[in-house]
Amino acid sequence: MFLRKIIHKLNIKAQCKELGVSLWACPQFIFLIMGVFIITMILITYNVGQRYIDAQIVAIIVLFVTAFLFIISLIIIRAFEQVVESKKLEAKQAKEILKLKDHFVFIAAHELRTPANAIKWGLSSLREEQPELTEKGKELFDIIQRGNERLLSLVKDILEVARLESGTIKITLEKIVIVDSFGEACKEVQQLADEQKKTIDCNFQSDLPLVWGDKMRLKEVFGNLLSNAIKFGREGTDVSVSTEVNDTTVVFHITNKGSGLNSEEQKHLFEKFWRSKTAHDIEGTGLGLFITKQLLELMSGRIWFTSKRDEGTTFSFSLVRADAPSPREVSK
Amino acid sequence: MSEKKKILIIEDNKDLVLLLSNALRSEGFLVASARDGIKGFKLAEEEHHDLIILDLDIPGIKGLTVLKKLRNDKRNKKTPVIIFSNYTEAENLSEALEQGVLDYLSKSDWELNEVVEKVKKALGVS
Repeated sequence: MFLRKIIHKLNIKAQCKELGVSLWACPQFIFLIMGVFIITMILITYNVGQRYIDAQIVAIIVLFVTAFLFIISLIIIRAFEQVVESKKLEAKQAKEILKLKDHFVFIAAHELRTPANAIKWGLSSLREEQPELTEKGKELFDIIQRGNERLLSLVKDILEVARLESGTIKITLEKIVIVDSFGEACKEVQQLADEQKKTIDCNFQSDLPLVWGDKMRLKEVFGNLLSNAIKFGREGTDVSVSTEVNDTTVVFHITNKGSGLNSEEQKHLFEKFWRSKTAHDIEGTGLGLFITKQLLELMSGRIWFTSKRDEGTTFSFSLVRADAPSPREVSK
Repeated sequence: MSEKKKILIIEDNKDLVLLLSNALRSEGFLVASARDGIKGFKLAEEEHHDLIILDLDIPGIKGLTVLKKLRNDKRNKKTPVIIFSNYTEAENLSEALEQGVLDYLSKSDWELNEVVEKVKKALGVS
């Protein structure tokens, strides 16, 4: 153990790597170079001096040169050490600021949920108490209700993003019947499809192999993609679902006929809070696809899409087959 | 005339407590409430309740700790508990399910009347 410590201390390259600086900015390496330089200067001074000057005077000169070089090298090394220390401090402060930010977002979002839930329930109780509202009254009621639903949805997504970015989200991988997750998510968006006069077949059946996934998160992924396909599809059109089985993966494709995206918009699709210009009338937080991508990647899956302006979009994602070696259980 | 069922709500937000209590009372239930875990467990210990609605994020002692204490308490070992929380994380859910809760509802996902229906179903009241 002690020997290992010594060897580690002598491994200058490894130590500089730990500090996160290049060799020529690393105090330990600079110390070594200065040491070699001082020894070389001592030898040169002695060899030159002893040819022309008395041995005692040469010794004094060598001593002074050594002392002078030693002091200079100490100053240089100290300067480099300070640079490294301030870099380490900056990194530590940055990490702490990030931690504080995540904590703040988490607390704020959580605290926002409570009054929003009270408003939600208060509104539904009020509606029962006052069933005979005027048309204007109903309209105002709906405005408040919609606003509150949007707030709750935004808070939920912000919390999820905060958890994903802070690495506190836990994914439990198990062998699942993917069609079951699809079926459950589809039933939940059926009402949305009916309201928007779009069709989606929730009775999609297929003999698909089991896949590795987190049941709850996979349902969320399906929910996000299906509701997007419905919201961004043209009225009267259908959302189609198809699958593909490969050697190691199962792929789902969800297609709509809608406004689609141009090539510039496609670059931003998975960014946080990004929304297409055609989406200004469509409800959404701009976080759904970001969250979906992160969740799929945590399940060792992948997501991609193809889209054409004024035609529609197909989102595809893959998951690892359960008869393939399992991705390790992920606790980010 | 059958005895009225008693429900205990352990939840720190007074507006949610008021809304839920009113809704449950209008269905003929007797409702008691506590706004922190210590008082909530005390009430549960002192008196029998047919159902407990428990928030996980409460002051005093946290909801999961209250749940564990209830399960270790003679009177409340088998009392049906519905977890009602802002937390929807899988780890809270699995820990709560291990303690034998009846249901786990996320506050923002459920309407008030749906919660009341869940309670009625849990207590076998239609």
